Amino acid sequence: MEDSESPVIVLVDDEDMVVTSIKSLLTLETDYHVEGFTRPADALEFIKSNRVDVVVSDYLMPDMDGISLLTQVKEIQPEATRILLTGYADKENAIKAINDVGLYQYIEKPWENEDLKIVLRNGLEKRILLQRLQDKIAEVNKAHGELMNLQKDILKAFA
Amino acid sequence: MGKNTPSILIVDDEEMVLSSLRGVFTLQTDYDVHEASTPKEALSYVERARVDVVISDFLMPEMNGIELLKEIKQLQPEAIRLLLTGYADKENAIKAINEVGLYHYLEKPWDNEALLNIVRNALSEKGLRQQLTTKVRELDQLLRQHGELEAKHRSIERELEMAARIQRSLLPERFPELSGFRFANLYEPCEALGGDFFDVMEKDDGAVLLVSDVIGHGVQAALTTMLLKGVFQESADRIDEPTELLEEMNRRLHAVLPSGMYAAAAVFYLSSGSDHIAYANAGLPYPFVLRKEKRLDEIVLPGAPLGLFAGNLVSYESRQIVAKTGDVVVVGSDGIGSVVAGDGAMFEDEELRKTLEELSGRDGATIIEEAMKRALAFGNNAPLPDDVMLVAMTRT
Repeated sequence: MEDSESPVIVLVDDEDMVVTSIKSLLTLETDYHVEGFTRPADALEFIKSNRVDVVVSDYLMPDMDGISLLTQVKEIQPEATRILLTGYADKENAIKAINDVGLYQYIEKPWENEDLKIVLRNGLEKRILLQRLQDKIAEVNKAHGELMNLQKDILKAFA
Repeated sequence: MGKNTPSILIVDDEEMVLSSLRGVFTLQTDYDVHEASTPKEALSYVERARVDVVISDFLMPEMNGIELLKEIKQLQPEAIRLLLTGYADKENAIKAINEVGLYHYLEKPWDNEALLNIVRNALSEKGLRQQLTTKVRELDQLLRQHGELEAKHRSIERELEMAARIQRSLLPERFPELSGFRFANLYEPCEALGGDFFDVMEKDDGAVLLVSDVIGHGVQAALTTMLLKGVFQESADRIDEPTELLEEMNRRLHAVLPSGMYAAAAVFYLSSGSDHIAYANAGLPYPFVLRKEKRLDEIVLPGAPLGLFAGNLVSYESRQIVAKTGDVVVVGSDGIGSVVAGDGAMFEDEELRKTLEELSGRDGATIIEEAMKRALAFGNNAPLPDDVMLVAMTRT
Protein backbone atom coordinates (compact mmCIF):
# COMPACT_ATOMS: atom_id res chain seq x y z
CA MET A 1 0.00 0.00 0.00
CA GLU A 2 0.92 3.69 -0.03
CA ASP A 3 3.37 5.22 2.37
CA SER A 4 1.13 6.92 4.95
CA GLU A 5 3.65 9.76 5.27
CA SER A 6 3.37 11.00 1.69
CA PRO A 7 0.86 13.84 1.13
CA VAL A 8 -2.47 12.86 -0.42
CA ILE A 9 -3.74 14.96 -3.32
CA VAL A 10 -7.24 14.43 -4.72
CA LEU A 11 -7.76 15.44 -8.34
CA VAL A 12 -11.23 15.85 -9.86
CA ASP A 13 -11.93 16.61 -13.52
CA ASP A 14 -14.59 15.17 -15.82
CA GLU A 15 -12.00 15.01 -18.58
CA ASP A 16 -9.97 11.89 -18.14
CA MET A 17 -7.08 13.45 -20.02
CA VAL A 18 -6.69 16.25 -17.51
CA VAL A 19 -6.67 13.81 -14.59
CA THR A 20 -4.19 11.54 -16.31
CA SER A 21 -1.77 14.25 -17.29
CA ILE A 22 -1.68 15.97 -13.87
CA LYS A 23 -1.41 12.63 -12.17
CA SER A 24 1.55 11.55 -14.25
CA LEU A 25 3.25 14.93 -13.75
CA LEU A 26 2.94 14.68 -9.98
CA THR A 27 3.85 11.02 -9.83
CA LEU A 28 7.00 11.65 -11.82
CA GLU A 29 8.16 14.84 -10.15
CA THR A 30 6.89 14.73 -6.57
CA ASP A 31 6.41 12.24 -3.76
CA TYR A 32 2.67 13.00 -3.52
CA HIS A 33 0.15 10.25 -3.56
CA VAL A 34 -2.45 11.25 -6.16
CA GLU A 35 -6.05 9.99 -6.28
CA GLY A 36 -7.76 10.96 -9.53
CA PHE A 37 -11.56 11.03 -10.13
CA THR A 38 -13.73 11.94 -13.12
CA ARG A 39 -16.96 11.98 -11.06
CA PRO A 40 -17.33 14.41 -8.14
CA ALA A 41 -19.51 11.90 -6.25
CA ASP A 42 -16.68 9.32 -6.29
CA ALA A 43 -14.24 11.94 -5.03
CA LEU A 44 -16.58 12.84 -2.13
CA GLU A 45 -16.94 9.17 -1.28
CA PHE A 46 -13.16 8.89 -1.06
CA ILE A 47 -12.77 12.07 1.00
CA LYS A 48 -15.37 10.87 3.48
CA SER A 49 -13.25 7.90 4.48
CA ASN A 50 -9.65 9.00 3.84
CA ARG A 51 -7.50 11.78 5.15
CA VAL A 52 -6.61 14.15 2.30
CA ASP A 53 -4.25 17.12 2.23
CA VAL A 54 -5.13 18.99 -0.95
CA VAL A 55 -8.17 18.77 -3.25
CA VAL A 56 -7.86 20.16 -6.80
CA SER A 57 -11.14 20.34 -8.69
CA ASP A 58 -12.20 21.44 -12.15
CA TYR A 59 -14.91 24.08 -12.19
CA LEU A 60 -17.18 23.00 -15.06
CA MET A 61 -18.39 19.42 -14.67
CA PRO A 62 -21.73 17.88 -15.70
CA ASP A 63 -22.93 16.47 -12.34
CA MET A 64 -21.70 19.07 -9.91
CA ASP A 65 -19.61 22.24 -10.34
CA GLY A 66 -16.22 22.52 -8.68
CA ILE A 67 -17.26 25.23 -6.23
CA SER A 68 -20.10 23.10 -4.82
CA LEU A 69 -17.77 20.14 -4.63
CA LEU A 70 -15.09 22.09 -2.76
CA THR A 71 -17.74 23.56 -0.47
CA GLN A 72 -18.72 20.03 0.52
CA VAL A 73 -15.08 19.08 0.96
CA LYS A 74 -14.80 21.93 3.45
CA GLU A 75 -17.62 20.37 5.49
CA ILE A 76 -15.99 16.95 5.51
CA GLN A 77 -12.34 17.91 6.01
CA PRO A 78 -12.02 21.61 6.89
CA GLU A 79 -8.22 21.42 7.18
CA ALA A 80 -7.71 20.25 3.59
CA THR A 81 -6.45 22.92 1.19
CA ARG A 82 -8.85 23.45 -1.73
CA ILE A 83 -7.80 24.60 -5.20
CA LEU A 84 -10.02 25.32 -8.23
CA LEU A 85 -9.02 24.57 -11.82
CA THR A 86 -10.78 26.90 -14.18
CA GLY A 87 -11.02 28.00 -17.80
CA TYR A 88 -10.44 31.64 -18.61
CA ALA A 89 -14.15 32.32 -19.04
CA ASP A 90 -14.95 31.25 -15.46
CA LYS A 91 -12.27 33.32 -13.79
CA GLU A 92 -14.77 35.73 -12.26
CA ASN A 93 -16.54 32.88 -10.51
CA ALA A 94 -13.26 31.50 -9.27
CA ILE A 95 -12.22 34.83 -7.77
CA LYS A 96 -15.59 35.15 -6.08
CA ALA A 97 -15.31 31.64 -4.67
CA ILE A 98 -11.92 32.37 -3.15
CA ASN A 99 -13.60 34.85 -0.86
CA ASP A 100 -17.00 33.18 -0.48
CA VAL A 101 -15.92 29.59 0.07
CA GLY A 102 -12.40 30.20 1.32
CA LEU A 103 -10.58 28.53 -1.55
CA TYR A 104 -6.82 28.61 -1.34
CA GLN A 105 -6.15 29.53 -4.96
CA TYR A 106 -7.34 29.00 -8.51
CA ILE A 107 -5.28 27.72 -11.41
CA GLU A 108 -6.14 28.75 -14.92
CA LYS A 109 -6.43 26.26 -17.74
CA PRO A 110 -4.23 25.68 -19.58
CA TRP A 111 -1.96 25.48 -16.59
CA GLU A 112 1.80 25.61 -16.49
CA ASN A 113 3.24 22.58 -14.80
CA GLU A 114 5.69 24.59 -12.74
CA ASP A 115 2.94 26.91 -11.61
CA LEU A 116 0.75 24.01 -10.62
CA LYS A 117 3.57 22.47 -8.64
CA ILE A 118 4.28 25.73 -6.76
CA VAL A 119 0.62 26.22 -5.88
CA LEU A 120 0.36 22.63 -4.66
CA ARG A 121 3.57 22.91 -2.68
CA ASN A 122 2.40 26.11 -0.97
CA GLY A 123 -1.08 24.74 -0.37
CA LEU A 124 0.40 21.64 1.19
CA GLU A 125 2.74 23.72 3.32
CA LYS A 126 -0.26 25.62 4.64
CA ARG A 127 -2.04 22.36 5.45
CA ILE A 128 1.02 21.03 7.29
CA LEU A 129 1.53 24.27 9.21
CA LEU A 130 -2.13 24.23 10.29
CA GLN A 131 -1.79 20.63 11.44
CA ARG A 132 1.40 21.34 13.36
CA LEU A 133 -0.19 24.38 14.94
CA GLN A 134 -3.18 22.33 16.06
CA ASP A 135 -0.88 19.64 17.45
CA LYS A 136 1.14 22.23 19.34
CA ILE A 137 -2.01 23.83 20.74
CA ALA A 138 -3.15 20.42 21.97
CA GLU A 139 0.29 19.75 23.46
CA VAL A 140 0.29 23.14 25.17
CA ASN A 141 -3.16 22.49 26.63
CA LYS A 142 -2.11 19.06 27.84
CA ALA A 143 1.09 20.38 29.42
CA HIS A 144 -0.91 23.14 31.04
CA GLY A 145 -3.38 20.65 32.51
CA GLU A 146 -0.58 18.46 33.85
CA LEU A 147 1.06 21.47 35.43
CA MET A 148 -2.22 22.38 37.15
CA ASN A 149 -2.59 18.83 38.51
CA LEU A 150 0.93 18.85 39.84
CA GLN A 151 0.29 22.16 41.56
CA LYS A 152 -2.87 20.72 43.09
CA ASP A 153 -0.92 17.69 44.35
CA ILE A 154 1.63 19.92 45.99
CA LEU A 155 -1.00 22.17 47.58
CA LYS A 156 -2.78 19.12 48.97
CA ALA A 157 0.19 18.39 51.21
CA PHE A 158 -0.42 21.68 52.98
CA ALA A 159 -4.22 21.61 53.09
CA MET B 1 0.37 52.34 10.67
CA GLY B 2 -0.58 49.66 13.15
CA LYS B 3 1.93 47.21 14.53
CA ASN B 4 0.09 44.28 12.98
CA THR B 5 -0.45 45.85 9.58
CA PRO B 6 1.43 43.71 7.04
CA SER B 7 4.45 45.43 5.57
CA ILE B 8 5.21 44.97 1.86
CA LEU B 9 8.33 46.01 0.02
CA ILE B 10 8.23 46.31 -3.78
CA VAL B 11 11.45 46.59 -5.75
CA ASP B 12 11.60 47.49 -9.44
CA ASP B 13 13.79 49.84 -11.49
CA GLU B 14 10.80 50.87 -13.60
CA GLU B 15 8.75 53.60 -11.98
CA MET B 16 5.66 52.50 -13.90
CA VAL B 17 5.72 49.03 -12.36
CA LEU B 18 6.19 50.48 -8.88
CA SER B 19 3.30 52.85 -9.24
CA SER B 20 0.90 50.28 -10.62
CA LEU B 21 1.74 47.81 -7.82
CA ARG B 22 1.40 50.60 -5.29
CA GLY B 23 -1.99 51.39 -6.81
CA VAL B 24 -3.25 47.82 -6.44
CA PHE B 25 -2.18 47.47 -2.81
CA THR B 26 -3.25 50.92 -1.73
CA LEU B 27 -6.69 50.59 -3.28
CA GLN B 28 -7.47 47.02 -2.31
CA THR B 29 -5.60 46.33 0.94
CA ASP B 30 -4.57 48.01 4.17
CA TYR B 31 -0.95 46.88 3.84
CA ASP B 32 1.92 49.23 4.52
CA VAL B 33 3.54 49.59 1.10
CA HIS B 34 7.21 50.53 0.76
CA GLU B 35 9.07 51.01 -2.50
CA ALA B 36 12.65 50.79 -3.68
CA SER B 37 13.84 51.52 -7.20
CA THR B 38 17.26 49.90 -6.74
CA PRO B 39 18.37 46.72 -4.96
CA LYS B 40 20.73 48.80 -2.82
CA GLU B 41 17.87 50.93 -1.61
CA ALA B 42 15.86 47.77 -0.91
CA LEU B 43 18.65 46.21 1.16
CA SER B 44 19.14 49.34 3.18
CA TYR B 45 15.41 49.31 3.98
CA VAL B 46 15.37 45.63 4.97
CA GLU B 47 18.36 46.25 7.23
CA ARG B 48 16.41 48.69 9.35
CA ALA B 49 12.74 47.71 9.17
CA ARG B 50 10.63 44.56 9.44
CA VAL B 51 9.05 43.39 6.17
CA ASP B 52 6.54 40.59 5.74
CA VAL B 53 6.58 40.25 1.97
CA VAL B 54 9.13 41.37 -0.62
CA ILE B 55 8.18 41.50 -4.30
CA SER B 56 11.21 42.05 -6.52
CA ASP B 57 11.69 42.48 -10.24
CA PHE B 58 14.18 40.08 -11.85
CA LEU B 59 16.11 42.25 -14.32
CA MET B 60 17.65 45.28 -12.65
CA PRO B 61 20.94 47.05 -13.48
CA GLU B 62 23.11 46.51 -10.37
CA MET B 63 21.93 43.18 -9.11
CA ASN B 64 19.29 40.76 -10.34
CA GLY B 65 16.18 39.94 -8.32
CA ILE B 66 17.29 36.45 -7.36
CA GLU B 67 20.54 37.74 -5.83
CA LEU B 68 18.63 40.48 -4.05
CA LEU B 69 16.10 38.05 -2.57
CA LYS B 70 18.95 35.76 -1.53
CA GLU B 71 20.53 38.61 0.45
CA ILE B 72 17.18 39.57 1.93
CA LYS B 73 16.80 36.00 3.13
CA GLN B 74 20.02 36.44 5.11
CA LEU B 75 18.74 39.64 6.68
CA GLN B 76 15.17 38.55 7.40
CA PRO B 77 14.71 34.79 6.97
CA GLU B 78 11.01 34.94 7.87
CA ALA B 79 10.15 37.46 5.14
CA ILE B 80 8.27 35.87 2.26
CA ARG B 81 9.87 36.51 -1.11
CA LEU B 82 8.17 36.81 -4.53
CA LEU B 83 9.83 37.30 -7.89
CA LEU B 84 8.36 39.39 -10.70
CA THR B 85 9.62 38.23 -14.07
CA GLY B 86 9.28 38.73 -17.79
CA TYR B 87 8.39 35.71 -19.90
CA ALA B 88 11.98 35.34 -21.10
CA ASP B 89 13.33 34.91 -17.58
CA LYS B 90 10.84 32.34 -16.44
CA GLU B 91 13.31 29.47 -16.49
CA ASN B 92 15.57 31.36 -14.11
CA ALA B 93 12.66 32.19 -11.86
CA ILE B 94 11.60 28.56 -11.60
CA LYS B 95 15.15 27.50 -10.79
CA ALA B 96 15.35 30.14 -8.11
CA ILE B 97 12.15 28.92 -6.49
CA ASN B 98 13.88 25.73 -5.51
CA GLU B 99 17.38 27.07 -5.00
CA VAL B 100 16.65 30.20 -3.03
CA GLY B 101 13.35 29.08 -1.49
CA LEU B 102 11.10 31.67 -3.11
CA TYR B 103 7.42 31.49 -2.30
CA HIS B 104 6.11 32.24 -5.80
CA TYR B 105 6.93 33.95 -9.06
CA LEU B 106 4.66 36.27 -11.01
CA GLU B 107 4.84 36.78 -14.73
CA LYS B 108 4.63 40.26 -16.16
CA PRO B 109 2.00 41.36 -17.00
CA TRP B 110 0.42 40.04 -13.83
CA ASP B 111 -3.21 39.59 -12.96
CA ASN B 112 -4.10 41.80 -10.00
CA GLU B 113 -6.51 39.33 -8.43
CA ALA B 114 -4.00 36.51 -8.68
CA LEU B 115 -1.28 38.73 -7.21
CA LEU B 116 -3.47 39.77 -4.28
CA ASN B 117 -4.44 36.18 -3.58
CA ILE B 118 -0.85 35.00 -3.62
CA VAL B 119 0.23 37.78 -1.26
CA ARG B 120 -2.72 37.02 1.02
CA ASN B 121 -1.74 33.34 1.15
CA ALA B 122 1.88 34.31 1.75
CA LEU B 123 0.91 36.49 4.69
CA SER B 124 -1.31 33.79 6.14
CA GLU B 125 1.54 31.28 5.88
CA LYS B 126 3.86 33.69 7.66
CA GLY B 127 1.20 34.22 10.34
CA LEU B 128 0.87 30.46 10.83
CA ARG B 129 4.64 30.14 11.20
CA GLN B 130 4.66 32.89 13.78
CA GLN B 131 1.83 31.29 15.77
CA LEU B 132 3.66 27.99 15.61
CA THR B 133 6.85 29.57 16.95
CA THR B 134 4.88 31.17 19.78
CA LYS B 135 3.26 27.84 20.68
CA VAL B 136 6.57 26.00 20.57
CA ARG B 137 8.03 28.60 22.92
CA GLU B 138 4.97 28.38 25.19
CA LEU B 139 5.29 24.60 25.30
CA ASP B 140 9.00 24.79 26.13
CA GLN B 141 8.23 27.14 28.96
CA LEU B 142 5.46 24.93 30.34
CA LEU B 143 7.67 21.86 30.16
CA ARG B 144 10.45 23.70 31.97
CA GLN B 145 8.03 24.86 34.67
CA HIS B 146 6.76 21.33 34.95
CA GLY B 147 10.30 20.03 35.45
CA GLU B 148 11.04 22.60 38.12
CA LEU B 149 7.79 21.95 39.91
CA GLU B 150 8.36 18.21 39.80
CA ALA B 151 11.76 18.65 41.43
CA LYS B 152 10.15 20.82 44.08
CA HIS B 153 7.42 18.22 44.54
CA ARG B 154 10.01 15.50 45.10
CA SER B 155 11.86 17.59 47.66
CA ILE B 156 8.59 18.41 49.46
CA GLU B 157 7.74 14.72 49.53
CA ARG B 158 11.12 13.91 51.02
CA GLU B 159 10.60 16.57 53.67
CA LEU B 160 7.09 15.33 54.39
CA GLU B 161 8.43 11.82 54.80
CA MET B 162 10.97 13.11 57.29
CA ALA B 163 8.25 15.04 59.10
CA ALA B 164 6.06 11.94 59.16
CA ARG B 165 8.90 9.99 60.77
CA ILE B 166 9.23 12.68 63.43
CA GLN B 167 5.48 12.71 63.95
CA ARG B 168 5.35 8.94 64.44
CA SER B 169 8.08 9.25 67.02
CA LEU B 170 5.74 11.53 69.02
CA LEU B 171 3.32 8.65 69.55
CA PRO B 172 4.10 6.70 72.70
CA GLU B 173 6.43 3.78 72.03
CA ARG B 174 4.52 1.53 74.39
CA PHE B 175 1.62 1.71 76.75
CA PRO B 176 2.36 1.67 80.47
CA GLU B 177 2.23 -1.60 82.39
CA LEU B 178 -0.90 -0.90 84.36
CA SER B 179 -2.40 -3.61 86.48
CA GLY B 180 -5.95 -4.44 85.35
CA PHE B 181 -5.61 -2.90 81.86
CA ARG B 182 -4.33 -3.91 78.44
CA PHE B 183 -4.05 -1.28 75.69
CA ALA B 184 -4.08 -1.48 71.91
CA ASN B 185 -4.09 1.15 69.20
CA LEU B 186 -4.42 1.59 65.46
CA TYR B 187 -3.23 4.62 63.50
CA GLU B 188 -3.71 5.18 59.75
CA PRO B 189 -2.98 8.71 58.51
CA CYS B 190 -4.63 9.30 55.11
CA GLU B 191 -1.61 11.32 53.98
CA ALA B 192 2.03 11.31 55.05
CA LEU B 193 1.23 13.60 57.94
CA GLY B 194 -1.84 13.24 60.12
CA GLY B 195 -3.94 15.24 62.52
CA ASP B 196 -4.97 12.29 64.71
CA PHE B 197 -2.91 11.82 67.79
CA PHE B 198 -2.82 10.05 71.14
CA ASP B 199 -0.51 10.13 74.10
CA VAL B 200 -0.34 8.46 77.45
CA MET B 201 1.39 9.47 80.66
CA GLU B 202 2.11 7.34 83.71
CA LYS B 203 1.05 9.10 86.83
CA ASP B 204 1.10 8.00 90.49
CA ASP B 205 -0.42 4.52 90.45
CA GLY B 206 -2.21 5.01 87.17
CA ALA B 207 -2.11 6.71 83.76
CA VAL B 208 -3.67 9.57 81.82
CA LEU B 209 -4.66 8.88 78.20
CA LEU B 210 -5.18 11.65 75.64
CA VAL B 211 -6.93 10.92 72.34
CA SER B 212 -7.28 13.80 69.89
CA ASP B 213 -8.12 14.80 66.36
CA VAL B 214 -6.78 18.10 65.03
CA ILE B 215 -8.92 19.77 62.33
CA GLY B 216 -7.63 19.03 58.83
CA HIS B 217 -4.65 16.91 57.92
CA GLY B 218 -1.22 17.54 56.47
CA VAL B 219 1.41 19.95 57.66
CA GLN B 220 -0.82 22.34 59.66
CA ALA B 221 -2.50 19.54 61.56
CA ALA B 222 0.82 17.76 62.18
CA LEU B 223 2.39 20.89 63.66
CA THR B 224 -0.61 21.32 65.93
CA THR B 225 -0.31 17.74 67.21
CA MET B 226 3.25 18.54 68.31
CA LEU B 227 2.00 21.54 70.22
CA LEU B 228 -0.76 19.42 71.71
CA LYS B 229 1.71 16.83 72.96
CA GLY B 230 3.78 19.48 74.74
CA VAL B 231 0.74 21.07 76.35
CA PHE B 232 -0.65 17.68 77.41
CA GLN B 233 2.62 16.42 78.91
CA GLU B 234 3.20 19.58 80.86
CA SER B 235 -0.40 19.96 82.10
CA ALA B 236 -1.23 16.32 82.88
CA ASP B 237 1.86 16.09 85.02
CA ARG B 238 0.43 18.50 87.57
CA ILE B 239 -3.36 18.18 87.10
CA ASP B 240 -5.18 15.22 88.65
CA GLU B 241 -8.68 15.74 87.30
CA PRO B 242 -10.00 15.43 83.68
CA THR B 243 -12.17 18.59 83.46
CA GLU B 244 -9.42 20.74 84.87
CA LEU B 245 -6.93 19.20 82.44
CA LEU B 246 -9.12 19.98 79.40
CA GLU B 247 -9.79 23.52 80.64
CA GLU B 248 -6.08 24.17 81.08
CA MET B 249 -5.26 22.70 77.66
CA ASN B 250 -8.03 24.75 76.03
CA ARG B 251 -6.81 27.95 77.63
CA ARG B 252 -3.23 27.39 76.49
CA LEU B 253 -4.08 26.20 72.98
CA HIS B 254 -6.50 29.06 72.40
CA ALA B 255 -3.71 31.47 73.28
CA VAL B 256 -1.32 30.07 70.66
CA LEU B 257 -3.32 28.44 67.85
CA PRO B 258 -4.18 30.60 64.82
CA SER B 259 -7.89 31.40 64.71
CA GLY B 260 -9.92 28.61 63.16
CA MET B 261 -7.48 25.87 64.23
CA TYR B 262 -8.73 23.55 66.92
CA ALA B 263 -8.52 19.98 68.16
CA ALA B 264 -11.17 17.59 69.40
CA ALA B 265 -9.85 15.61 72.36
CA ALA B 266 -10.83 13.31 75.20
CA VAL B 267 -8.90 12.44 78.37
CA PHE B 268 -9.14 9.34 80.53
CA TYR B 269 -7.72 8.95 84.06
CA LEU B 270 -7.11 5.31 84.89
CA SER B 271 -6.04 3.83 88.24
CA SER B 272 -4.28 0.56 88.70
CA GLY B 273 -6.77 -2.25 89.21
CA SER B 274 -9.78 0.09 89.37
CA ASP B 275 -13.13 -0.39 87.57
CA HIS B 276 -13.63 3.38 87.44
CA ILE B 277 -12.27 5.52 84.64
CA ALA B 278 -12.69 9.29 84.92
CA TYR B 279 -13.41 10.76 81.50
CA ALA B 280 -13.90 14.27 80.05
CA ASN B 281 -14.56 15.16 76.44
CA ALA B 282 -13.73 18.14 74.19
CA GLY B 283 -15.68 17.30 71.06
CA LEU B 284 -14.31 13.85 70.23
CA PRO B 285 -16.78 11.12 69.14
CA TYR B 286 -18.25 9.41 72.20
CA PRO B 287 -16.41 6.36 73.48
CA PHE B 288 -18.06 2.95 73.40
CA VAL B 289 -17.91 0.35 76.13
CA LEU B 290 -18.14 -3.17 74.70
CA ARG B 291 -19.49 -5.27 77.56
CA LYS B 292 -18.30 -8.79 78.14
CA GLU B 293 -21.92 -9.95 78.03
CA LYS B 294 -22.17 -8.69 74.41
CA ARG B 295 -23.79 -5.33 74.94
CA LEU B 296 -22.72 -1.92 73.64
CA ASP B 297 -22.85 1.26 75.73
CA GLU B 298 -22.12 4.68 74.25
CA ILE B 299 -20.91 7.27 76.81
CA VAL B 300 -22.58 10.50 75.66
CA LEU B 301 -20.73 13.60 76.84
CA PRO B 302 -20.65 16.73 74.65
CA GLY B 303 -17.95 19.41 74.96
CA ALA B 304 -16.35 22.21 72.94
CA PRO B 305 -13.14 21.34 71.04
CA LEU B 306 -9.83 22.67 72.39
CA GLY B 307 -8.52 26.01 71.22
CA LEU B 308 -11.69 27.28 69.57
CA PHE B 309 -13.08 29.44 72.40
CA ALA B 310 -11.42 31.61 75.02
CA GLY B 311 -10.87 29.95 78.41
CA ASN B 312 -13.54 31.95 80.26
CA LEU B 313 -16.24 30.78 77.81
CA VAL B 314 -15.63 27.04 78.13
CA SER B 315 -16.05 24.53 80.91
CA TYR B 316 -16.14 20.74 80.79
CA GLU B 317 -18.00 17.99 82.63
CA SER B 318 -16.65 14.62 83.54
CA ARG B 319 -18.19 11.14 83.69
CA GLN B 320 -17.18 7.97 85.47
CA ILE B 321 -16.99 4.99 83.13
CA VAL B 322 -17.38 1.69 84.91
CA ALA B 323 -15.49 -1.10 83.16
CA LYS B 324 -15.45 -4.57 84.69
CA THR B 325 -13.15 -7.45 83.77
CA GLY B 326 -13.71 -8.39 80.11
CA ASP B 327 -15.16 -5.00 79.17
CA VAL B 328 -13.39 -2.97 76.47
CA VAL B 329 -13.48 0.83 76.09
CA VAL B 330 -12.99 1.90 72.46
CA VAL B 331 -12.34 5.54 71.58
CA GLY B 332 -11.02 7.25 68.45
CA SER B 333 -11.23 10.07 65.95
CA ASP B 334 -14.19 10.39 63.58
CA GLY B 335 -12.02 8.84 60.82
CA ILE B 336 -13.44 5.32 60.91
CA GLY B 337 -17.01 6.63 60.92
CA SER B 338 -16.42 8.87 57.90
CA VAL B 339 -15.72 5.97 55.52
CA VAL B 340 -18.36 6.27 52.78
CA ALA B 341 -20.04 3.40 50.92
CA GLY B 342 -20.91 3.47 47.22
CA ASP B 343 -24.50 4.53 47.99
CA GLY B 344 -23.34 7.53 50.05
CA ALA B 345 -24.02 5.95 53.46
CA MET B 346 -21.38 6.54 56.13
CA PHE B 347 -19.91 3.82 58.33
CA GLU B 348 -20.93 5.73 61.46
CA ASP B 349 -24.62 5.84 60.44
CA GLU B 350 -25.40 2.25 61.49
CA GLU B 351 -22.53 -0.08 60.66
CA LEU B 352 -20.08 1.13 63.32
CA ARG B 353 -22.39 0.33 66.25
CA LYS B 354 -23.54 -2.94 64.71
CA THR B 355 -19.91 -4.00 64.15
CA LEU B 356 -18.78 -3.11 67.66
CA GLU B 357 -21.76 -4.85 69.22
CA GLU B 358 -20.92 -7.99 67.28
CA LEU B 359 -17.28 -7.77 68.35
CA SER B 360 -17.99 -7.24 72.03
CA GLY B 361 -16.64 -9.93 74.31
CA ARG B 362 -13.40 -10.12 72.37
CA ASP B 363 -10.00 -8.62 73.14
CA GLY B 364 -9.40 -4.89 72.45
CA ALA B 365 -6.66 -5.41 69.84
CA THR B 366 -8.85 -7.82 67.85
CA ILE B 367 -11.83 -5.47 68.07
CA ILE B 368 -10.14 -2.42 66.57
CA GLU B 369 -8.35 -4.39 63.85
CA GLU B 370 -11.56 -6.15 62.84
CA ALA B 371 -13.57 -2.90 62.97
CA MET B 372 -11.03 -1.26 60.64
CA LYS B 373 -11.20 -4.17 58.19
CA ARG B 374 -14.98 -3.96 58.06
CA ALA B 375 -14.90 -0.17 57.60
CA LEU B 376 -12.53 -0.53 54.64
CA ALA B 377 -14.73 -3.24 53.09
CA PHE B 378 -17.76 -0.99 53.67
CA GLY B 379 -15.99 1.72 51.61
CA ASN B 380 -15.03 -0.80 48.87
CA ASN B 381 -11.38 -0.48 49.94
CA ALA B 382 -11.18 3.05 48.58
CA PRO B 383 -8.43 5.31 50.03
CA LEU B 384 -9.31 6.66 53.49
CA PRO B 385 -11.04 10.05 53.40
CA ASP B 386 -9.59 11.03 56.79
CA ASP B 387 -7.00 9.91 59.32
CA VAL B 388 -8.16 6.94 61.36
CA MET B 389 -7.09 6.38 64.95
CA LEU B 390 -8.55 3.98 67.50
CA VAL B 391 -7.47 3.14 71.04
CA ALA B 392 -8.85 0.17 72.96
CA MET B 393 -8.57 -0.26 76.74
CA THR B 394 -9.32 -3.83 77.78
CA ARG B 395 -10.13 -4.33 81.44
CA THR B 396 -8.36 -7.52 82.53
